[in-house]
Amino acid sequence: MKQTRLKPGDDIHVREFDGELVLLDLRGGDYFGLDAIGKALWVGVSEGLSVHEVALRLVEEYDVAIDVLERDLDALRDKMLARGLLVEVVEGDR
Amino acid sequence: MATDAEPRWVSSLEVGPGIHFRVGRLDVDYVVEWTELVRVRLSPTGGVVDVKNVDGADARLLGKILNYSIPAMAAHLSGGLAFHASAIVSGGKAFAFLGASGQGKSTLASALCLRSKGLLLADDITHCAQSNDVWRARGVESQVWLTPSSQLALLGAESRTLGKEPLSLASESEAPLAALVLLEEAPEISVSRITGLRAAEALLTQLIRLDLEDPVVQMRDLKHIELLLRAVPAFVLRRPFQFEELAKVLAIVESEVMRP
Repeated sequence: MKQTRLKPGDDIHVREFDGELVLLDLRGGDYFGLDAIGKALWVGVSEGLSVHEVALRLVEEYDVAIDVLERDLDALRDKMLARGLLVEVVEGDR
Repeated sequence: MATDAEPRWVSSLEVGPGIHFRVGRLDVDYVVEWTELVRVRLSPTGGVVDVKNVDGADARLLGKILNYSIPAMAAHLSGGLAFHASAIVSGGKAFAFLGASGQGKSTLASALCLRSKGLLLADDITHCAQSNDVWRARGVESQVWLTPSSQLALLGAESRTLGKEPLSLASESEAPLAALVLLEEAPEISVSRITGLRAAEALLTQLIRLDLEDPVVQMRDLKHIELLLRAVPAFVLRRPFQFEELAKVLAIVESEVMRP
């Protein structure tokens, strides 16, 4: 069975500024900022976690319902996918 | 002539009526061109290899390009960061005021010079570079064209005699950078420290860079901004664009930024 997972785009360079991230898209020199929540998504995805798993990790830190958190993360993920900051990769059975 | 070969143009931007700014590569060098004005070839480390003026080019525009734009680009390529910023030296420390054209950089800097007996280091472009773990600021312009309000703030009644002549800057001095101040317009006067994304965004917005598809330069710039913000505090100064408020603005800059 094949499944997809997210990963950072190959042309995205990252640097941290006081706990927040600036992403540099080397394809065009555009910059994008990620706050603490965005950073958590980026780090989680980089570690191979799903959005749901990132939400589970974050819900312990923030006073917010998991479904609200997951919805916000989904929206952020979609924006990052649209800009090529994150990409989907298809993986087969291990 | 070194620029006789045609560069491989990588970006182009209309910067004025009939004038396009474009950047290209020729071997390892960069070529920047303002159509109808000038073509300049720069080495990868910022050395000016060749300048070719267009016959009949507007001398005033040409002067600005050669005095402002080219030195800023060369400074960028040399490894430092060049910002749209005025800068002054006071008490042996440099203070840079970042903002786009029309944000009052020159007026504020020149008025601060007068008030704190400082020196005007840069009017429009400030170059920042790290040396022995210290970030130092310097101007890259050889002359400045102060607006009437800046002339008034800096020189008072003497400005009447200056007309529109360019002024010489206080030599090619430099000083350790003590603070970066982003200028914004707001109804009330305030100064606040900015960090993280807010500070990074402020610096990236005012960074002067060649519009290049060069990942090495892009990554280097971002790394330098991170290092700069680790070493030098950044502030945002919000104030109304009213000359009568200038004294209050100067006082808060002195108390909150220059002598906190």
